[in-house]
Parts: sequence; structure tokens; C-alpha cells
Amino acid sequence: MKNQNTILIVEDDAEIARSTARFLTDAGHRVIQAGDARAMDRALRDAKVDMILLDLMLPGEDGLSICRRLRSSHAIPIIMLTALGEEMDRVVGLELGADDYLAKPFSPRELLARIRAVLRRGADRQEGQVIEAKQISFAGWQLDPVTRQLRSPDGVRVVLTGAEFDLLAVFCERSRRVLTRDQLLDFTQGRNAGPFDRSIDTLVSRIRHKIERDPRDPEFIVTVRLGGYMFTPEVTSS
Amino acid sequence: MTRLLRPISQLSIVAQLGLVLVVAQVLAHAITVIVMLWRFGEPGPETFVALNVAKMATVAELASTTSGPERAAILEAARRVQPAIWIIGDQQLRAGHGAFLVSTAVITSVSRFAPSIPAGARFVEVSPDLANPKPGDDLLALSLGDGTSMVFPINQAMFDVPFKVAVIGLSIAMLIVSILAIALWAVGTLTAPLRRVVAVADRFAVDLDATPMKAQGSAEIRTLVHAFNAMRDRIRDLIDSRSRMLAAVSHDLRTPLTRIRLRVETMTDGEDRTRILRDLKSMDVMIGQALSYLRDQTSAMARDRVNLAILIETICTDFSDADQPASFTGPRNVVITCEPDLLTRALSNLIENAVKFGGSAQVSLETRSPAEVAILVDDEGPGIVDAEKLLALEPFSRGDKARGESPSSGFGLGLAIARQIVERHGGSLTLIDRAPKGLRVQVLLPVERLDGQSPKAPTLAPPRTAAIDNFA
Repeated sequence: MKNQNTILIVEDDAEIARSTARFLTDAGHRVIQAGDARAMDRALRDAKVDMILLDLMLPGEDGLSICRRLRSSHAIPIIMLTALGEEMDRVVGLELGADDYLAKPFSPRELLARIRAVLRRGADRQEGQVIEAKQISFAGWQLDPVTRQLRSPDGVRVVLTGAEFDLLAVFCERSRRVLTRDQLLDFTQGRNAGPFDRSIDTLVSRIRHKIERDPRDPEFIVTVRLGGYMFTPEVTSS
Repeated sequence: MTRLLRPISQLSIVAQLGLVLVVAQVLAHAITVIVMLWRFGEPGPETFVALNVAKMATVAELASTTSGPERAAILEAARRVQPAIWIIGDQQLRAGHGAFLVSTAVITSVSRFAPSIPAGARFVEVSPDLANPKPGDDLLALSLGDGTSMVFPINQAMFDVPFKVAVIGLSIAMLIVSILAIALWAVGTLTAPLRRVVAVADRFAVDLDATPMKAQGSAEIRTLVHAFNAMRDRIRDLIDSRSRMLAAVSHDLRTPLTRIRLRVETMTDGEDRTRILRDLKSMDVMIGQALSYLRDQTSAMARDRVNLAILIETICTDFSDADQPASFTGPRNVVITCEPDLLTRALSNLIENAVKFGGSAQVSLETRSPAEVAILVDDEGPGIVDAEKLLALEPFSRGDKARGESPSSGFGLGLAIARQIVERHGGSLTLIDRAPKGLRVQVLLPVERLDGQSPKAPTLAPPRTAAIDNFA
């Protein structure tokens, strides 16, 4: 870590907060702890915070409400922690502006990986590389980065694996540019540190199978000579 | 009696009330007729004859006191009622046409109803000289006192029995038709609020947050609506409190699990640490399974049009990426209406079981008809003996123990959860033996929503045949 990040843990269970803080400190982060929304607000006033780990169930104002409130005033990345682990909560959390979502009990290693990914994305955002969009569309297809859903031109949901979605999102953010495999790997790994990432070629062929009219003669993701791919459709975001 | 009435009691309310009204009206009619007959006796033809004769006697009396154009005017007026009236000279009548021909009963009743018949009245036979009286008509001659008689028929065709039957039959038929029409309209109006209640009840079955019914209409309907709204509130309270309880249980169990998980992190690597991590994992899986089983029973279904082929393929990809061999065969584009997250959970459970017990899962998708698709999850494991099959689908039944599952792998709710989700989609889940060995889980799903709420298809413009094509 070149420069130390400050992470604010908002968690009412003292032991979980303490242990998590210890791991994050060991990993080179600076950590502040807050037991509820008021302590969090104080901490935000007193220090510059780079990321918030936010528990969903808190005494007083709950995590979802805090998340909504923070989003209206701050750009600080938020990772929600929750013991509910329900798909709906994940979607609601992300829609309210959380950057990621982790179910309890979590492994500290996974938490560190998510923190790295989210911070990296935050850095990307500052460089202005990421399209901040609610909806991305290309050739009639709709890609929702929040709910991570893809819809065909006739409104049918087409399911993607996490890695496939991330790669397609990278293509959409950088359409009509030749991207090498290394670049693609680099762009996607920051966000999904899943242990089962397949090679870019495999992912491209899977995405083609799902969105191309004829996967053997692709129109959207074309192979460029001398190793690379280009996403050809015009991408709009709204 | 009750057995006889049962088919009727199953008719629609409109039909039942219509039937009651018709039966009641016909009964009332019949009773009226019976009372009338008992009180006044049957009005035989002679009653009508006598009335007719009495009228004609009055005419004759008037005619006898007048002459010339005055008499002609009176007769003219009378002919409007009784067209067949002739004035015939007594001489002519005597010339062989004077015999009495009507029955004694007729004469008796004539004298009863028409005491004013002039003494000179005589019954005459049909005479071919007269202008076309109907054959069988009896003619009565009333002397006008000036050497002529007024002759007219006394049993008119109007009183013919078939005609009477027709008139009475027609009137009853009209009665029934009009009662039915009014009954249908009235009962339809009366039961409209009931149908509204049914419609809203149907909506509640899917969405308990639908606006409560307005209490309007008859007293009974208002009572029903109040009872129904109260029931809905109660059910919603139960579900709410259950959701709160589930959330609390989930939170309260997972918080200590998280603490332990973090504590384990400080332990040095070794046998103990590995075991604790494994147990923690399986406890977390169990909590997740139990909660999702309980939650899936009542959670709202966010239905969507989904490419099922790609959904299954993606699940298989996720499994094989995690080194759990799962393969998919089937068409590339099969669109169904479903809740994709729930269906993903169900299919993941089935594939997970197949991999666990059979080493690998072969998943295939077929379209059985334009309205139904079949998902087959096959493995080559030991299968489940028939006696255990039903048990295996029951929640918390330990059915999976039959397949030698270790206690650490959770409640064994995988199949029960899958079945519950499939059934909430209006489909079915069956376990089938494969030859020579292995288990096939067959999932049949309707292409469109079919959970008994609304027979109407969702808003898809053209009627779709399963929307299947290999668009390559």
C-alpha cells in the first residue's frame, strides 16, 4: 500500500468490529470504529474517510437508511455487511448506492479482496474512466450495472455469470476500442477477485453465445488480429 | 333430498336464484288456478255460451223495440262483437229447422247465466241457407216479435280447447321468460359485489399489499368484505411477524458465527482450524437453507421473462467453474415467465445434489408443448429407493440421509426447497430412476405464469408458442 487508506467500520457488535479492525490494520489500512449512525457522523466530520464498512442491522438508524443518506452527501465508497444474506437485500443495498455487499459470516480475506476492488474502482472513477450510468444500452440490449442484469432487445432477461457481466461491462465502458487480453484481464480483475476466473477467451466465447445472433460470426465482440477484441456497437448510457 | 339438491347447490348463484324464482312463480300460478277451480268450479264451454247468449238477448230485446234504420244501427253495432247475426223470417225458421240440438247442460247454464232470455228463444239447427256458419255450430234464434228472429251461433271457435291451451301455455311461457330475464338481471346486479370480492380475493392471493376492499353493497356483502379485510390484515401481520422473526433469527445466529469466524482467523493453521471452519460453513449453510425454505413460502414473486436456456447454462457454468462438473444440453433460446432468482436457487440445489451424489450433473432442457418445458437433472449416483423418494422431497425429513449424506451438509433441505420453488411456479418436480443407475430429477414448468391466479396471459402481444428457436 503506497498510501494508507482510512476505513470507517460502522458495526454495533464490539467484537466483530474489533477483530475486523485488527485485520484491516494488519493489512495496512487505518481504521476508525463507530457503533451507530451518530458515532459514524462524528467520525466523518473529524477525519477524511476513504471507505465505509456498513452493517445493515444497527441500533437506531439502520444501514439502508444510512446508506441512502450518505449517498446524497458523500462519494465515499460503501461496502454493506449483512447477516441477512438475501438476494433482495443485496439488490436494495446496491440500488441505494452501496458499492458492494458482503454476507456475514465473511472471511477476512474475502473482505480484504472486496475492499481492494472497491477502492480500485473508486480510483478509476476519479480518473474519469468509468461511465457513471444507471443504464447502459447497446443495439437494443440493456445492461444495468446496479442490479447486474442484462436484457435482450425484446425485454427478455439473459443471465450472466459474475465474470461474464464484468467483462461485458468493461467492453461497454470502452466500446469501439481495441482491447488486448492483458488489458481486459487487468480491467476485470479489479472488480471480481473470484477464484474461478476463466481466461478472457473463454469468457468472450460465452458472452458471444448469449448475445450474438450467430456466435460463429460475431457482430458485437469481434476478434482483432494480433490478439485483442473490440466491442463494436454504439453504447449509450442514461 | 340433500343429495338431490347438491347438483343445484353447485350451480352459480345466478342460476340458483333464477331457478328458485321460476319454481316459486310456477307454484304460485298453480296454487291460484287450483284455488279458483275449487272455489268456482271448472268454467265449461257453457259458461261462455251463456254469457254470449245473455249479451245477444240484450241486443234482441233492444232490436225488438225498434225498427228500420235504428234497428239496423243496433245490429250493426252488435255485429262488431258477433259478426254472424242473421235476421230470418219465422216462417223460414219453421220450415223444418226448429229442432233443439244443444245439450240440456247448455240450456241449464244458459238459463242460469241469462235469465233474461226471451220466452220465444229457440235453438235451431245449422241451415245450409244461412251464410256459412261453421259446421257443428249451434244456432240460437231469438224472436224479435215482428215475425222475424235474430239468429246467431252460440259456441264460438274462440272457446275451442286447443286455443285455450295455446293462450294459457303462451302466457306461462311469457311469464317464465320474463321472470328469467328479470331474475338474471337482478341477481347479476345483486351478485356483482360478490364477484368483486372474488376478484380482489384472487389479487390478495398474489399480493397481500393490494388495497383493501371497499365495503359496499348489501349487508351480507359488507359483512363478508369486513371479514375478508380482517383476515387479510391478520395474514399480513402473521407474515410480517414471521419475516421479522426470520430476520432476527438470521441476524442473531449469524452474528456469533461471524465472531467465531473472525476468532478462528487468529488460530494457527491446523486440523482444528480446518474443522472449525468446515463446521462454521455448514452451520451457515443450514441457517441459509432453513431461512430460505421458510422465506420462499411467502416471499413475493418478482416475475420476469427470462431466457431459461441461458439461465440453466449459466448455473452449469458457475458449477463447472468451481470444478463441480455440470453440463447443459438443449436449445439456445427458451423464454419463460418465472422468478429467476428463486429458479436459480432451485436448480442450483438440484445440480449440487447431482454432483454430490453422482459425481456430475447432466442437465437438459426440452420443450414438451407450447405451454410447458421440462428440465431434467440427471446423475449417475446411487439414486433414491422408491420408499425414500417422497420423504426426500419433504422438508426436515432427513430424507437425504438415505443417500448417505453426512450431518455436516445441512438440513438436507435442497430438494424440498427446489420442490417448493417449482410448485410456486405452477410446475412439478418428480424423482425418476435411471437405468442402469442414477437419479433423474424432472422439473416441469409452465411457459407462462400459471399459479391459479389469473387465466389471462401476461401482456405479450402475439400469442406465443414457447418462443423457441435456435436463433443461430
